Amino acid sequence: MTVTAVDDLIIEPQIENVAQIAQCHGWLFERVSERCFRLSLSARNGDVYQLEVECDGFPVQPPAFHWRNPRTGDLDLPVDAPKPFGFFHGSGRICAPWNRLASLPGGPHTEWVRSRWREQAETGGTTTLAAMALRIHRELRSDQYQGRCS
Amino acid sequence: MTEEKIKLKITTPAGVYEGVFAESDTVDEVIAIVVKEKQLADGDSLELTRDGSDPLPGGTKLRELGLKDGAVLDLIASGSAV
Repeated sequence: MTVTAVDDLIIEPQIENVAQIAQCHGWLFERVSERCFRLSLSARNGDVYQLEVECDGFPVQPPAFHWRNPRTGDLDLPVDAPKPFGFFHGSGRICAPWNRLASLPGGPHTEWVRSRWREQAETGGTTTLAAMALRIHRELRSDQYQGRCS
Repeated sequence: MTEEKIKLKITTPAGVYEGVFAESDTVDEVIAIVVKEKQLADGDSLELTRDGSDPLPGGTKLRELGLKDGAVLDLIASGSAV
């Protein structure tokens, strides 16, 4: 069995779990490819955010959570991200070891070693794609949410 | 006297758990059941929330939460914000 096939065995049920959760909550879920999906979440005030999640290299590497503009398809524009608080960072990236973008150039923690993301204290139990989606949902629904970046 | 039951859908880091609980079950008891049934890591810090609310207090009984049959709760791994 190839490494790719082993990765797929891990990733596929995890993406299916996210799809089930999305159905429970009425979130829009779209499968883009074998290793990529989109998820639309609503914030406390009804603002809707779309995330594009790339899972290449997962679980050795963390997935990449992009804010996506559903109209244009653009990724990672500040206007498509929430105003900063908690792990919604001013860089427009979700600041957590479980988001690959946090440790890439331009991210808030380029010193983080991506291959050790699961061991970092800040990851806690957020090691599955479903756990990550639920954490973002929780933040968007929290009292600290103050709207979309403008 | 028959114990009142309630059916819940609980989203978890390992997918959705659907189960029937006694209305006298506490939040902590629900978490323990779901951790066992979904084989979640025992040491992880988990919070039960309703639509992104603050964590439901562990000692609260389900009947005190005003839940309807089929309600959705979220079991969230509480990794700290950075």
